[in-house]
Amino acid sequence: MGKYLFHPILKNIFPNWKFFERTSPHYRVFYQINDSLNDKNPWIELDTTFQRKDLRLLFNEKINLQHALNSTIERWILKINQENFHQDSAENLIEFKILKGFIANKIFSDDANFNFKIELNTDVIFSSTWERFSQ
Amino acid sequence: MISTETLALKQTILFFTLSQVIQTVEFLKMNKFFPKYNPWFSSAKELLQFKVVLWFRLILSMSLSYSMNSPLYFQAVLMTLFTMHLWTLVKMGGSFNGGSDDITTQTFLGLIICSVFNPVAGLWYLSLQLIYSYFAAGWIKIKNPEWRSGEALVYFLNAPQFALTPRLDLKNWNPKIIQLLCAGILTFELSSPLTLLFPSWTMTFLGLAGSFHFLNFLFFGLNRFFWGWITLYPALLYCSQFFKNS
Repeated sequence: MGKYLFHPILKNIFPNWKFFERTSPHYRVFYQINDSLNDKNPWIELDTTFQRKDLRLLFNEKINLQHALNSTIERWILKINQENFHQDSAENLIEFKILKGFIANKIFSDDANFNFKIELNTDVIFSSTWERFSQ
Repeated sequence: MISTETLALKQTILFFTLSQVIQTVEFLKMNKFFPKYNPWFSSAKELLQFKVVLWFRLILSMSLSYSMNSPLYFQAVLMTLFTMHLWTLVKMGGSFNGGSDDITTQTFLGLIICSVFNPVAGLWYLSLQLIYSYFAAGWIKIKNPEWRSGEALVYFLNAPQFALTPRLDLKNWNPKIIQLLCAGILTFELSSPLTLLFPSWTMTFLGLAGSFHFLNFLFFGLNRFFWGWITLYPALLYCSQFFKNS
């Protein structure tokens, strides 16, 4: 709890201002819905792109939300790709829970189970177990 | 007659009020995108708590500019808003909008120094953070060969995880022109400390900096960066004239 609370605060108080430091590999997120009618539905790509038509100088919540989702995915990929990272812990990270929440909101049936995977340059680097929407 | 530091402080607070109102309204409006549940909160109760804090934060943000005439009330509002800002970041898993969260924190710290200790010290803190933010960003870029060759600019303007669609495709542009654009960005960022040495250069620098943030807004949608950084411009303008006037 201490680390979870204080590390982000310290990072804000002592920022490093490293913007657009280096290029990173392109990732794609896919999800799959498993409903009672069909247990092998196709993979659907999660839209992580930004649309210029949504751009607002004052209240730009849609694009900022998209930025938050993308940086969450990037932070998660960085963490799970670290040496000595125990892959079983990937689903315990806060970033995983946020991503799961984003996908759950894309699915309109409360009865559906879903799983998702992340591809980095066409390699699958993570595949979740089946998740069920729950508050 | 109003002193130059009071004027700079008032202008900073005015911009900061606007920036805080924008951030808070954005958080409130985001809930419409989550018909089932908000991914940052594990229960409906926690989400309700967050919304109540946001409404309170909105009211306090709007009162920030008006509270300047009463130092004690201003300090109380500032400290409460700062606590709410940090609390929001913790609730968002540590970071919501990267650099704009950081510049907001730095603005709070600078204004706290202004109100608790000394306005001039606070304005200097804000100016030095502003200069350092540009310089550090330029320094890490110039060390990277991808930025020196221009590849990084082409990449970022085309990266789906950063750039708005439709994107500005520089792939078919003359590489020399792209390299020149990169050199311009690096020169601009690394020249930020010169604003203190050559006060006559400050207005030009801030004009370029404002345009740079506006272009970042147009290509990457970074509106919070635009408002967050221009909030500190009155402080730098004041500090760049400090030795000339004293």
